[in-house]
Amino acid sequence: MNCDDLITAMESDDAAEQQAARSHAATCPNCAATLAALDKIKATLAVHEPLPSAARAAWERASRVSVSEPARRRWTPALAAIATLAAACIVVFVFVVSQPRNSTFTQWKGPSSDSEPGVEFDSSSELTRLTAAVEALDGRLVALAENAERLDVEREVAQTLKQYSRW
Amino acid sequence: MTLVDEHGAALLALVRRLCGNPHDADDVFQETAVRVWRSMVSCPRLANPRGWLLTIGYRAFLDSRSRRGQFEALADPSDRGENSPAELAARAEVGGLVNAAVAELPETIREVVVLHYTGGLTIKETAEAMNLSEGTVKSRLNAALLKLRSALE
Ligand SMILES: [Zn+2]
Repeated sequence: MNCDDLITAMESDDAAEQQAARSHAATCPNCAATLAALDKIKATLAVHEPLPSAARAAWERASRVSVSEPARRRWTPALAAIATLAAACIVVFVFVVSQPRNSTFTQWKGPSSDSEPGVEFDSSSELTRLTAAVEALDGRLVALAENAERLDVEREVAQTLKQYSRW
Repeated sequence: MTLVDEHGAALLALVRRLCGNPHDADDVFQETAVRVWRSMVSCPRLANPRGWLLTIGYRAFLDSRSRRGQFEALADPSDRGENSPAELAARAEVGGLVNAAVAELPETIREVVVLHYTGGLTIKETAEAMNLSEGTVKSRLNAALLKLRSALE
């Protein structure tokens, strides 16, 4: 038993190795001090205060919200990139259609296909429509992100359950 | 005896040490409760309820940390409750030095220490919870104990 191996031996699952470490510490003042410090560290870290009643109550409250509350919002990098790209496309599109018309544009019917030929394209109403579309898209992306997170957590918890269960 | 009555105190101690402040710890505790209640719908028979509960708590902590990641980096350390009167009082108690030294450990090392010594997870369970090899867990524990020992000198 070497002084450098004391901590490794004490953390071993092998009881004989732990015993060897303790025997060595009994004859080595430096390792005895290390061992005393380790025991103090372990004892301190293992102390649990009783569960406060507020925490106990929070636990019970969680049983009610666990069914109804959606998972908290989290933008994944991929979803954020998609949302940014979609928003950028729409901004560019709106910018293009709201430019002053040249001779070609005056004849253009605009995205609303029911416009009469030669009728001016109403950029402000189109902008309103597009803004609403962006908002709807944003809402959809948020819902997708929430759902993705919920599924992520459920998958993870299910894996942990498998690991710790006997069925 | 329910899961929370039996192991709730260990869970709260674990997430408090992981989070470093009581406010975040309460959030993680609650999020763990939500995850546990959702799983209880399927009435699982748990061979090791404590290990399962603490692993769920640890994963909830990781998710919470990744959510607030960038804000944490910018936050004033005094906002994290490290210097609160309660914290200072705790440090003055017997064992306060150990608690302070654990709080100062690098995150990856601290997590191993907290899961193993506060949570009571075995080396194997700690390794599985953290997706690490048992060898890595052992070497991190070794490094942590050396640092903690020198902090106590
Ligand atoms: Zn020695």
